[in-house]
Amino acid sequence: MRRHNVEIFSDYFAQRSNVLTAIDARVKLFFVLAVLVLVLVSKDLPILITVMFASLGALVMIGIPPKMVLARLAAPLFMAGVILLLQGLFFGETPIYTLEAMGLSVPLYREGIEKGILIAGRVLAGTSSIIFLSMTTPLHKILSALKFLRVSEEWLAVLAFAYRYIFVFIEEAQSIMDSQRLRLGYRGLLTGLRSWGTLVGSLFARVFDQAQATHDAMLLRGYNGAIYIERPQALRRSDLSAGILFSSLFLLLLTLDFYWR
Amino acid sequence: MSYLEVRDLVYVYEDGTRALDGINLSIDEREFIGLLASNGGGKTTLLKAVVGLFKARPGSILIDNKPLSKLKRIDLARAIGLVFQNPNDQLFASTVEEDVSFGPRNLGLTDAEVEERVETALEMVDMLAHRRKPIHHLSFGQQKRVCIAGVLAMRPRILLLDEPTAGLDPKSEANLLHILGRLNKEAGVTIVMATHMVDLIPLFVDRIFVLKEGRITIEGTPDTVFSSTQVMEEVDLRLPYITHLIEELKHKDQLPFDKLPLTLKDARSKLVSLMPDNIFSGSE
Repeated sequence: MRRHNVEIFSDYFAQRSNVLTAIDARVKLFFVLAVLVLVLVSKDLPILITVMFASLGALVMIGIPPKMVLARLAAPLFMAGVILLLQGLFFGETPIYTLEAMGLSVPLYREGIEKGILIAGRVLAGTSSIIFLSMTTPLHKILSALKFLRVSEEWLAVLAFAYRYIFVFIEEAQSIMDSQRLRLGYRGLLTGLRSWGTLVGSLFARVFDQAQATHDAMLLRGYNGAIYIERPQALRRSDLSAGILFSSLFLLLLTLDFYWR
Repeated sequence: MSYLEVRDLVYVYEDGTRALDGINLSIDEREFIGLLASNGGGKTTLLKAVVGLFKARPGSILIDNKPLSKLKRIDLARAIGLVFQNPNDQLFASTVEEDVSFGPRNLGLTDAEVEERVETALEMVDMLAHRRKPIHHLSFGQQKRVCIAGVLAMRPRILLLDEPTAGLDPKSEANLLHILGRLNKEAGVTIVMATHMVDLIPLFVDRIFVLKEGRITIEGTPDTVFSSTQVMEEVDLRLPYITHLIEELKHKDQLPFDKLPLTLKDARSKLVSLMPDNIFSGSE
């Protein structure tokens, strides 16, 4: 359980050596940002589906187990489902199906479902392209690329800290939960809620302790308010070729979007 | 004059706990010092006071004959480094080399100097091959070694370590202690190691300070400190297992030992010297 949770967030696959991880982070970042803009403005479901399958398919092609890719997609998939349902329930005028439950009739509207499918498509296409980036690029390289884009160093430092300590706190939360579970802390609804509350409270306290300890350790190594983020290296010929390939793919998507519209 | 001098140091926590109660100690350069105490004895508080994280009053701390309170933080960082017990407290960067380079960059060194220091420090702790790895992909023992490298890269004259072997398996424990021994003997780094691990400490340290309830109760070479079970029990510790065995042989079986051996090597040679010669040639 613990291992699984950590692996979902881990950049283990981004650390491996393959054709996608070898590409400079700036090239991938530019491509993904461009795709995200396209996903936001596009109203064509086929484009969104293409982006999603291309992103996830590329990950499977470099040897990432489909299960792991799906595990990362699970949360956005759930969100997309909720959005689809809510849109269908609350927006539109033309009922296409009526849900009967406990003597109540709840209609689902065609217009809402159509809009919901589009939004869910955007959610899934957008998150898939971000999953593509995160599973092929270690965070420190993404930070370097963001530094190249002149993103504020303070933001980058916060991002770096969040990334470093998320694994520590997932493990910490899991240990507390395991210890509660072994002492029947989740036996019933009320007990479970109480245990959950204690877990969250303890975790907050540990976050503050950790912040203090880390700050102390940083001060002892001369911390002066700045966190160094590595400068990206010069682009290689292979990065330029990848850039050309990604640009062509993006232009193809734009063209298809224009024609399908 | 000692490089580090602590005089009449007192530290009282907000809840009234007197964690340090009149500590006096002096440490020379190139010494390997063991700070031995049971849990709650005041080891960590003393280390944190020495690096200025806890403001201990009354009392004074002199580093190279200068009061700690008069030192600029950057000069203090150059003089003395602390390796925390929990690697998560210290390792905050995404990768090994980023973390190790943090201190040297704060010293305002050039990229080339930073690179040289990172490489040397990682080499000293046998972690050079892992320099590009993310911190969370390292084992606990490797994280501990990166912590030491991060402090070594500052090139402090004294390295303080808070329970460096806590949580390590026996092999990693021995490995880490050998690295520390090498740093002390070959690189000339003064080392102060807080621990309650009595079995391996006599192999490496020159002197030991034993703390109990915030006071130094015994001080001296390992031979002096580990002179009898009774002395160790008074400070809630024990003798090294091998020393305890020899002490039992001496008192209960009247085997003639003049001095208690502290290491396996010493104990073996003493025992061998007491055995009849023909025992080694089988039935002859």
